[in-house]
Amino acid sequence: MELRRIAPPLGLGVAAALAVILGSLHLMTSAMQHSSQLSGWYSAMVGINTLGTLLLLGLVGVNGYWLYKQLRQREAGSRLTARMAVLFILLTLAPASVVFYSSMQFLHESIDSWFDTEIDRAMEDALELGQAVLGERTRALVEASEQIAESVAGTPEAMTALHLDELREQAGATELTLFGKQARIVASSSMQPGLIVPSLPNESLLLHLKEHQPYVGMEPVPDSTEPCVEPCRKGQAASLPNLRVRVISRLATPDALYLQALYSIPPRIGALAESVEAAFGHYREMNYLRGALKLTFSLGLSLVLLMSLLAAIWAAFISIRRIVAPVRELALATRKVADGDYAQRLPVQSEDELGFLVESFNEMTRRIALAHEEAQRSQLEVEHQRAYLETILSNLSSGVVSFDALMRVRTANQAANNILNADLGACAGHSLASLAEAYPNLAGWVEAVQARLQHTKSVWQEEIAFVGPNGRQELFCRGTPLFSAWGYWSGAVVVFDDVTALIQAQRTALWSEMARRLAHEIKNPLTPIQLSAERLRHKLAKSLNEADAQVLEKSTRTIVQQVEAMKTMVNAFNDYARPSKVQPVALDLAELVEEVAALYPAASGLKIDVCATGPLPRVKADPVHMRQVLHNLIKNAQEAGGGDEAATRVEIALRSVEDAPGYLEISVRDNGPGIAPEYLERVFEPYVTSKTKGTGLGLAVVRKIIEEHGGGIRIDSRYKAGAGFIIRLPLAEPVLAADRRDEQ
Amino acid sequence: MAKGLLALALLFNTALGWAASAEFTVLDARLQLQKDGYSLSADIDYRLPPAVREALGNSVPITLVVQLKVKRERRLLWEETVLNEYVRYRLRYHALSKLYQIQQEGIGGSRNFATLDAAVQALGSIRQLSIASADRFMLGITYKAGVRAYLDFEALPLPLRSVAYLNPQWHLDSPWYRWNFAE
Repeated sequence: MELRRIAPPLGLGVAAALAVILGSLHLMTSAMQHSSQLSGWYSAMVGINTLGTLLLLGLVGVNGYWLYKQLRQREAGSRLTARMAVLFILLTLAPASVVFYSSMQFLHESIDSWFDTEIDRAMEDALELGQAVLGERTRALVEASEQIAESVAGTPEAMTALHLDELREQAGATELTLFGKQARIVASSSMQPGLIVPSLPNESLLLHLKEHQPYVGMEPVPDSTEPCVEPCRKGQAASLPNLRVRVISRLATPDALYLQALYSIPPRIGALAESVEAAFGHYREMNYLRGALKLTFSLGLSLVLLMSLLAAIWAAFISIRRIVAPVRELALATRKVADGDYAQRLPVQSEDELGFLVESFNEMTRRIALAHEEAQRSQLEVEHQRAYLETILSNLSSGVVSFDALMRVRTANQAANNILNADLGACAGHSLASLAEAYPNLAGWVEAVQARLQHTKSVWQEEIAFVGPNGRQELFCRGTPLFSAWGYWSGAVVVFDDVTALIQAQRTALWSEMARRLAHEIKNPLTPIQLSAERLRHKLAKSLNEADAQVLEKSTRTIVQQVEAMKTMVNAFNDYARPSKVQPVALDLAELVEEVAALYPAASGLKIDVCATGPLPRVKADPVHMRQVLHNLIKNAQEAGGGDEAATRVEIALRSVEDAPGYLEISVRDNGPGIAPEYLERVFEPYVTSKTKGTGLGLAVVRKIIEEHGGGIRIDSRYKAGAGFIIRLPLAEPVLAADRRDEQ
Repeated sequence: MAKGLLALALLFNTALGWAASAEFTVLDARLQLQKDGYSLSADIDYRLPPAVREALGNSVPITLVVQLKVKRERRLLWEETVLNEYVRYRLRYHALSKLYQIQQEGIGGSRNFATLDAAVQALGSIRQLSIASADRFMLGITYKAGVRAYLDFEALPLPLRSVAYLNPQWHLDSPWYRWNFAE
């Protein structure tokens, strides 16, 4: 539940209420200080002030509870409010308490200082003195009354009224009354002729009379104005007597008759006595009310303190809330901005520093929003660019790989993966060395590129060859360095094309051209040569002697033989140069290898070991061509053995390989002298041979056939005990590597 | 601290004794038509608690008020107050003459009594107190009259009021004595 906050217009009303309360406080204290007209309103004022205090207490309580709730919910600005409120209360409380304490001390001491034992005694003595003076007078008056009573008792009742005036004047009384039981007036005499009803004693006095004789008492004159409560001022000696003495004596007669005499005290003495009485009364009253007075003043003071404290605290709450409100809103808005809501705008409610802060905040959020929008736009643009670039790169036939300043792979397109037969995307962020570790067959390419990146900081291009899973690959690489905005070298882009097929095609075309020329330029003259030699032998054989005929025979035979050999050689060339027609079938290669191996019995001085691991999938190949491949390779090993046939061993192994799931691998290794390093690069080209015998076309034909089958052949560089060749042929039914693993 | 506790205790007492502090009782009251108008006669039993007696003995004057209220019932309307009179008596001790004085406010003159009880007794018997002119009441209509007596708080000396607020002995107020009368 959200507690309603005091709105500013209401604050005005509250201020008015506060003014009323403060006004009534002032009036209350005034009433306490002066016994004025205000004293009648005292209770109402105390009530109003108590109500005001309770109202303020309620307000402070509500505010306190609200703050407590805010603190519990950890709302923004609540801690600041609490800290400020506590500080404010402490600042208010400390001086107020000091003032309150000292005021109370002062008050109590002042009130106590009014009263003193000496003054007490003086007052008592003054009253006693007054009473003694008046007592003297009353004793004389009592005696006079007694005499009158005696003389009245002696006279008959009827005569009494006549004598009474005389007796009164003699005694100096103001009034003489003779009365019987039930206040029955017998006779009366008064100084005031207008007085019809004499002032008779009341019932209590009459009761008193039954017990005590005679009655004597001093009393204020009823007709006089009310005795002054405060001591009468000098010169206020009333001209009229304000005190009188009432003496009642019982007459010594059989029926109960009383004589009442009223004597007035001289005005001056009366005034003095009355003044003493009033002062004494006032002093006694004050003395009696000393505790009450202290309590009243303390109550007033406490009310004042409590109200001012509560009002101050409440005002503090309101003002603190006003101060903290923009800060709180700022905190909330900042939190929202931090959460990514940049549409925050706060209302500017004041012209002070806080207002300036709010304005600055609004400006800041506006700019942040703009910057954020800009950034988003840029990001979107970058995304578009990237997508565009990626689309282009992925559709390029060239491989594109970029490297960062630490020569780690950053990006690579699909063509690069295809050309290198590797997943370069998975190697993003890894160094070139780790790429070589993951794909050992890329080691050559990696080394070459790394050397270029390290040493060439400008544009470079190079043809790099490496042995891939499908045999030797030729890549044409171009490197372009990348520079940061500050001109530092920050990496490079390497673009490469697989030019293996291109180079192969060029070479093939070259050889085909050469073969055509050989056929045309060499093969054509061979037949006339052969025919001419045969005609010479035929014509001259009879006409020559024995010895010459033998020479002729020998020479022409040699010519014909050599011409035949040349023809064979030219035909072989023709065969190599002409594209052969491959008729692939699903072939069990292990079986074929066994068949071919069986053609070389042990007597031939050649030992062939066939090793096939597990059930092998069929390959897609032309069996006739495959036989030729195997024969060529075996022959190659045989001839490399250098005639030491007894020791020649050929090992043919077939297996499926992990890194090339769609292929079957055949390795052919011998125990010959191996391939000389200078021939390593070009061993599969025609007429590249270290042997004395043979056409030099064996391995070239093998590679031609393998490549026509969509496979590859390379030298097994790790095999050092002789020459080793690794052939990979595509499978008839491509299988997934995972399935293959399951089978194994 | 002790004072605070005392005040609290007194306040508690006040809360309890507020209703039960009816130390004054109107025993009887009547309005009579005289020649010069209506007069009130009433018998009131004033029982002054010790605190009040002590204050009186220390020269503190007290004011006792007798209130008379006369209402007329009206059909479909609320009652009409025909008369609302207050008679105020001031009671004080005169130290010099050692007498208790009663003075009716608005009327000069005072009555003196040797003892407080006598004064209180005198206060309690109101006889033929002229209160309203004869034309105030109409013939044939029944009026509701009520009399009560109470001690006037606001007439107490100011310092005493704070103490009196908290002391139930000072809350002296009789219940209304009601009767109907018709002319």
